[in-house]
Amino acid sequence: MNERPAPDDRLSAYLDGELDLAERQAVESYLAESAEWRVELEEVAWARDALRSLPVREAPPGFWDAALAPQLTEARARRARRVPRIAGLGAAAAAVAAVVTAALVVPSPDRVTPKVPAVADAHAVRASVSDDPVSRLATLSVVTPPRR
Amino acid sequence: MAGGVPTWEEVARDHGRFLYNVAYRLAGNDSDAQDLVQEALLRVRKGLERYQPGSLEGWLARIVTNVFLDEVRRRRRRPADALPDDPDWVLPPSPPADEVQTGLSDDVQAAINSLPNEFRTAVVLCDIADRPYEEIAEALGVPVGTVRSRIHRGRRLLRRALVNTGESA
Amino acid sequence: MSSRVSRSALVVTAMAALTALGPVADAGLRAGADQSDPAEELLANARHAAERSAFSGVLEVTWSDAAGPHSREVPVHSANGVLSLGDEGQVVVDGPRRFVHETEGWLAVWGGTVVPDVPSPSEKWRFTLRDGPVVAGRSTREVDAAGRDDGRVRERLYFDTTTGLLLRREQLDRRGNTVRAVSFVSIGEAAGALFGVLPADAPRAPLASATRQPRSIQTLAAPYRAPSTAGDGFRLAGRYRDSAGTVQLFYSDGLFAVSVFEQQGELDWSELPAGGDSRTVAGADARRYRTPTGVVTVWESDEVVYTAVGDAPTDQVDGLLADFMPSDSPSTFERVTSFVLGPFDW
Repeated sequence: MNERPAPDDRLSAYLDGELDLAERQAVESYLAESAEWRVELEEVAWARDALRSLPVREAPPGFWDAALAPQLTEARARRARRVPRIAGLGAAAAAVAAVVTAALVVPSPDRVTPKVPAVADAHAVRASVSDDPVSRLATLSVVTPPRR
Repeated sequence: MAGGVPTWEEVARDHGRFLYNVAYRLAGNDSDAQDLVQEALLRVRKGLERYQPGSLEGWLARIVTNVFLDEVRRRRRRPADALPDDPDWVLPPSPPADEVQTGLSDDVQAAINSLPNEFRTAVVLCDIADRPYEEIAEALGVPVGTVRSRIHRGRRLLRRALVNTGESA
Repeated sequence: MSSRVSRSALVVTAMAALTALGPVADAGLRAGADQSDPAEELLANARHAAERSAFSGVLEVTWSDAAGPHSREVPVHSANGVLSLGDEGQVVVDGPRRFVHETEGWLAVWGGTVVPDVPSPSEKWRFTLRDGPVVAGRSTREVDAAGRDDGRVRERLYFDTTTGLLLRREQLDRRGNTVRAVSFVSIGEAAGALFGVLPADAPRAPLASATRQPRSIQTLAAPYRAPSTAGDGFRLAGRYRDSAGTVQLFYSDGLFAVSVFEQQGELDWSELPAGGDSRTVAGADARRYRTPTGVVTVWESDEVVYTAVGDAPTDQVDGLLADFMPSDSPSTFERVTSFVLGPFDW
């Protein structure tokens, strides 16, 4: 009679060294006798190895500075909220003609491509009608031309 | 550090990498991992007074897991909230530490992400945080037998997910 | 023409009164049904404050993308109820009308006499009001807008205590970092305005322009998608179609807005401009761009090309986009970078 059970979670515990002596001996005998047990062991060991081989994921730069110095971060945030002095930038780039052209997309027989600056402008215009017009229209591509 | 109880700064300095790694493997992305670690550090700070010297990493792993599960519960109530900021808004763009192996470890992480939470936490606590079953059982509030079962099933699901990727790639 | 002249005279006189008398009570400027909240009143008044004042100033627009932070300076003038923006006054505002000057001439990009409505922000946003910092040399009142559900401040607005003009707005990510801002860096009264004489370079609405305003439409049939609510508290506040047939849906939550443009056809990915990130949003391939106006996301689904532009924070935009995305995804499992269907929903 076949008293051997189907492969079960003792296999994972076996890999992790979590079985007592009696259980370990039982599992080892099943492994010796059964291809089914061996196959499942191999599969689970593969996943375990894949996990244990993952590299240590590091936090992005600046994270620990911010995490460990909450008082500093708050002070920085307060300073940032105060408005900058008149920016000493050189004259804005020579005025470039507006790129608000007719269609928001370029149609061809079967393919379309949205024009990113134009759609952004169309949104800004509509948003400016139910909101503060100055701050909404200040971002139009005609006054903040897209970089080439 | 007399008496074996570290200061909060010592914990962050000496075990920060461990904390972040576990948080990232649970959360699946940097943005949420950062939130998890911040919250975990707060709880570490508050809990240090009551901390009994013993397995520090076990204690930290347990805190991170609790923060993760609390967040899962919170987000289930408000799904629209469950969206991280794009990472390059504020932080300068930088490649992750494991850029060289990007393909494979990203695949494995994605497979972890696809696991239901009960399997994911068990598998991360075992194979990433390297905790013994008894600690995992305490951390998750379940019997050791349940931990064993979840780890086993989690690994099998992971394997299936990764094999499927390979086939469809 | 004559009505315009008398309106000018009225505006100039009112301006003189405003600037001469000092601080004006917020409450008196506008009658509105739900203006009981002083913070909401400030917001509502600010929409017309620019045309009621006469000033010249410089704005600084700041935003960031993968290449880092950017900023641009934009001069602004206001006189006689007309605003102009840009080094050469390329953008003009006259009441609800908006004009843009391009190489061939002036375009009227908005002309409606009826001002479209948006939902009240108070359902989703809680405002707090306090004295603010000095902005461009002016004292301000500060309004912070925090989500009612998580209490996080996502936008700060600073209003001039004298004129009610919005002097600065900044948008915050979920950690409280400023991710975009538009702010006056200098502002002063337009020379001559106090005395009823308009300066030579006063902005004027163009007399002739080509119409480029989209038409308002009432219904939208398949294959277009137009849910009446989307994301976290965004309501459909306008449907438009332009001369090329592109549909624009305008969503607002009272504070932020997202437009979803839809065009039938197949997306030519290779023709999209450089500088975008390839991303997956709710399981669909998408391209994303950062512009001064906001985040632009392009994708296609069911023979429609979608382009969403949001001045809202990215997480808010993603939540709305999920309601436009295809519900099933092709691959066995995929890397979801925007977590509507991610690990936290199980």
